[in-house]
Amino acid sequence: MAIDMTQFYQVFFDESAEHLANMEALLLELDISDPDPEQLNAIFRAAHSIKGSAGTFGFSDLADTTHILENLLDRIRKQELSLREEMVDAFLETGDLLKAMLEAHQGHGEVGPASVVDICERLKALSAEQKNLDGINSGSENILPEKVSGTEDADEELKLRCYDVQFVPNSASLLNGGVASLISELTAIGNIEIVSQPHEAGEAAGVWHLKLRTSCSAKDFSEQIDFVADSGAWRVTDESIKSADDDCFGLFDDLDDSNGLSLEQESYGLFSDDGGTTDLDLTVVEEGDGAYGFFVESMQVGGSKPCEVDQGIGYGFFDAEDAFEPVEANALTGKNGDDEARGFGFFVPIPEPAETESNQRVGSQVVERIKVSLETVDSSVDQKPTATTAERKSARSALAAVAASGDSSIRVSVEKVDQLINLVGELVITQAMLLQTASQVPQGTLEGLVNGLAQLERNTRDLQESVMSIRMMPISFVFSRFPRVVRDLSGKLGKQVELKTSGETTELDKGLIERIADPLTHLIRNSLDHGIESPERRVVAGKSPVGTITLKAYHQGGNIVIEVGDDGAGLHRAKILSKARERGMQVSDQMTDFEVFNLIFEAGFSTADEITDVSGRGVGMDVVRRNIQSMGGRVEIDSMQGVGTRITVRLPLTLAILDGMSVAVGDQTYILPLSYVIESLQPAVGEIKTLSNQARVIQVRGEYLPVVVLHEMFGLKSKWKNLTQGIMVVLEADGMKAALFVDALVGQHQVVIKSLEANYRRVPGISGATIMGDGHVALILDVSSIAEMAKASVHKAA
Amino acid sequence: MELKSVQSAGVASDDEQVSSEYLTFTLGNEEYAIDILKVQEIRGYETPTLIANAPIFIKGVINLRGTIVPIIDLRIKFGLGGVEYTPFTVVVILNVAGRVVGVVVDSVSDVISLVPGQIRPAPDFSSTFDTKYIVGLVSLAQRMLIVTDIERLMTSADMELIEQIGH
Repeated sequence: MAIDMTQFYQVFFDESAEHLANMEALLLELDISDPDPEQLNAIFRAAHSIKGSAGTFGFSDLADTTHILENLLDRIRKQELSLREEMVDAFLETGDLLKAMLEAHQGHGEVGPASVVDICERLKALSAEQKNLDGINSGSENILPEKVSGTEDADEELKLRCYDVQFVPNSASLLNGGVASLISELTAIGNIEIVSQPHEAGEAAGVWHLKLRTSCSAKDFSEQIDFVADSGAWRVTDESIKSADDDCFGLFDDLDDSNGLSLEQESYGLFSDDGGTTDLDLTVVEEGDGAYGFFVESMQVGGSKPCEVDQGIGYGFFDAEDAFEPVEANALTGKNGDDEARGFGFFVPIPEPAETESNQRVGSQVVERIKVSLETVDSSVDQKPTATTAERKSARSALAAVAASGDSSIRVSVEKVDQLINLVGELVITQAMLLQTASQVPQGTLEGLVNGLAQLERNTRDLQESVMSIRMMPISFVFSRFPRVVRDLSGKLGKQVELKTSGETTELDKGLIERIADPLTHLIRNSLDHGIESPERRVVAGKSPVGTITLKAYHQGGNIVIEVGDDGAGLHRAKILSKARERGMQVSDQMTDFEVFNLIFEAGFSTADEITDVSGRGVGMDVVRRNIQSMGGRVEIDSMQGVGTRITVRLPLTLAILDGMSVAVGDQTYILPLSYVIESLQPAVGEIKTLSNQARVIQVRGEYLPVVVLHEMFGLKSKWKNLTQGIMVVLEADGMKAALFVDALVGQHQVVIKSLEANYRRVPGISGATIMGDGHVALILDVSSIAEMAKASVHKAA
Repeated sequence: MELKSVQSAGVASDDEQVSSEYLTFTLGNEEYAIDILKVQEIRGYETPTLIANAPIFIKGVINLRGTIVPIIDLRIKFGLGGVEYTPFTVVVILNVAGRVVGVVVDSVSDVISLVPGQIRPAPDFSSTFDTKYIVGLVSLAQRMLIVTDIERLMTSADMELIEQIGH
């Protein structure tokens, strides 16, 4: 049955991206010297999930790379390898590469094959390096008695693995003696035993069945086999390592070939001895295709409790309560069909789904076997108890992960949500229109209608609010990328920096989330590069050598406030002033700190003495400010020399709705974003003065504010002849105040912001448009640019 | 043969017989034809919201069922026809280059079918209406239709509708 897989691609992309992000976050949290096994498991799971679904969807490049990554992770997880800094680096880079691959599959950018090979080689090298080390310490079991179970097996597994190899040679290789050369190649890397071979070799295609004992990984020789047999016509099964790639999250480690179980594919009972095995085993039988796991757990050595049979649902989750003292498990896993067909992982499928009843039977068999094997068990026993706590812990973490992944959320495309929001916006407008019409009807005549409309108003508001909340996402989506940024950059700059975040759950609009990421990254890079001093200088200054960058998000009024703070050197006022003079900017020593610090937001302004590849070119802060302003936000800067700098970004809760004040100018209505309005007043005669008879200023509470006459700026006709007849609205933007002259204040509304640029273009002084209750369009004033114009006019006059 | 190939160089010979539909409208005494697939709807004129400091032919923006749509008066742009706004003034809402734009014209006449062969290249002369937006001329009975590439016209720098790069 052919299912069009492409319809699920988007889900795969989304999920994989999530897994990658999760993996990265976990990697960054890892304590290199003492990694938490739960975290390692979680990282492994993330890689494994990506591999699994990449294989299913046929993205073999992703699956292959993840497979290598997973192998190395698996070995670290099992403490075969100790985690090192460069491994984390390699993992992070692999993560980046995988991300790039995902994007490439989605049609953005390309991934050079060279970089893939490069990373794979690095991972393999990291894996191999330690292998050699282990080879030297072949007696590592004695050295590491505290390891979790499976370590000993793993060590041995390095030395020898047992593979079950089956293949049907293709006709070309039959003619050229490919089989013979394959066998000689395999003999070169290990010990082979021909279990069965076609009766008339060379004549017709027949099944070859070999057993290979080698220290090489299956990857190393599977290519040769692939060369001899057509793809799909060969199978390599690692009989000594099976749980590594299974879906039971590696709670149970496998046994090496000497005391492991080998799976006879044909045997229904699933257990057979591999010749004189002495084992305590706990067997995991996985159903071949459904990936539902049936776990059969055995009890503690020496215990006499009966074997527990758990039927796991989903990917072999088991009950933590029931997972009492698992000693060792041998997981024989049938991977799901797709994987197998593609040759990822080397597993023998178990075609017969294990039924619960048969499992019970299997369980009792296990008990039998354990009883027998107990007698033969010796030295390995004393290691077991130490393993159990770790396993329990990881069992719990597995459960936690299940709970997290199964939370009640759905994936919906943004377009659908936006459409919903637009419709609700329309509904709000229609409702306002109806209300207005109804209010013109003489009182009392249609009381029922008016009441109904009032009800409708409340309902539409509620509806709008809940629809808007769909777009809300926690800011942790942005914050989660910064640990990586800080880690990479502090390493590069030779600084020690700790990133502290708070308020990750603060929610803001998805549109804002996407757009705030770049400015915030820039601010953090700046803090790292210019703010935090080198460890030596920090020590000299009497501070801890480790600098701190704090990232905070919280709600304040109708705004989201994001603070980026550092305990670094702070801004150097005099330096900024002198740089500003150098650049010919109009500055004076009388300027407040606030005004001086705001200079760093000017285009091309940089106080860095040298340009590094991190920053210093002076592009950046102006872009940051422009970006934040384009979102309707503001950015402020506080700094104290030697103590630190704090940059505060204020954003509206959403991009789509704004609290506005409508003002009338001539026959037009404009909307002023309420967040900029400080007060409004009617100017008295004589309060308005002129500068050089051009620019006007007004004195408000002892301050002279530049006056912007809106109807003059927009070429409209005011209904007043004299400025004292209208209203002055005092606005504050970018730390600058100005008085805006309008004819009258009309009212206060929540308005749905519509883009003017969608069909038209940017208009100076206008930030957007909205639709009023009567269906007319009202333009939203861009207060920052108006304040800018006011400043410019005063400068010109002065 | 020689002659024919020269003639058909300007107009695609392959689909000479495939007709397309055009909407015709008048501006003053001139009659224009535009590709009907670019037309979204035709509606009456309503007073738009002024856009400050916009060119005089940009009348402002209207609310078209929740979308903000700029309105251009082609009569002003080309200096043709009487510029007055009555309930009968027609606005053709166009969908060009992924944008929705309304243009005010004197009147909409009809929808006609034209095959490419009917469209003759326009003589090259400079006028207010730059010939680069003219696909060609069509004569139908006594009428001369100016077939216009409305998308090209609307997205051109002349219309000041779209922010130009480097602007």
